Amino acid sequence: MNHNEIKKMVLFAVMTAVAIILHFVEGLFPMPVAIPGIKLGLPNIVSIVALYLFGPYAAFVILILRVFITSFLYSGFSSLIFSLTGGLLSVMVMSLFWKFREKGFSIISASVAGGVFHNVGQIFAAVAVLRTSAVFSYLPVLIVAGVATGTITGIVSGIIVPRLSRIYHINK
Amino acid sequence: MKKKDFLIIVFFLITAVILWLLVNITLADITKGEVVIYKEGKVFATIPLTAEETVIVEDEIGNRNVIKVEGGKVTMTEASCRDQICVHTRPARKDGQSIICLPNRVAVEVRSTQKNEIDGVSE
Repeated sequence: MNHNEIKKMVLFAVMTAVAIILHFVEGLFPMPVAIPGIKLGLPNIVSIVALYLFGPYAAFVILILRVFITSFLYSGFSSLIFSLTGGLLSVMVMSLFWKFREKGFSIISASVAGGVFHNVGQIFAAVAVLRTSAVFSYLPVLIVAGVATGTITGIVSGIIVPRLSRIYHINK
Repeated sequence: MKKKDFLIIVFFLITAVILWLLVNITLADITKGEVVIYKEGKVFATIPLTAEETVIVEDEIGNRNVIKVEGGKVTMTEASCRDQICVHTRPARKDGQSIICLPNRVAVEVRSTQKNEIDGVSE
């Protein structure tokens, strides 16, 4: 293992830890209860930052580690299914936007699409678990929520990424 | 923020509006409807929407939900789950509307008893 690999490994571990803490912090302040099931998606900031600093591989690794650890620590097995389908779909879509980042799609596009598809993924998981298509009627609300939270996390990530890449001198 | 970011945001918002309209148009008000209660994906009970009835759904591990049908609408009045999202959900009265309690795997769905051919597709 050379110096660079060790540095990356440590950074992956640190980012996973940050994501777990953000998940916990998010649970501390509940969103206005008028619309159930909506979260700010703070841990998603870590996924985006990992994606733009190290690429899709890092984003997927950190996501999967985070989802498993937070599910077993805080919420249990049933939430694992929802977090995992939502998270994987979200990172997949964001990776697509990351690939086309030179075609005029900034980090905010990626984040907004990621937020929306995170919720879409969870809806599909809910349909599969509950075996009722009635859940789909909730989709429009969740899309709007995904756009709103995605914009916020996108702006935050847009501030973080250039700073971190300067500090860590990451070789892509 | 670049121009294409705005396009992405607008695109998603328009998609949401279209979906919302579709849901609201297809969910026509019904007087002849029934309430279907699912537990763990299986039908637990079916009650006509015109009835006045309270159903208690319980399982071996103590999960408990109380569902009330009254005045042409259905509400979840009590649930043993932690988040209480189902209890705060608005009453369901139209075809396709639902109240869902994920932690207890309970879903309450209102559906029209009038035959609709499109509904068969999603089964």
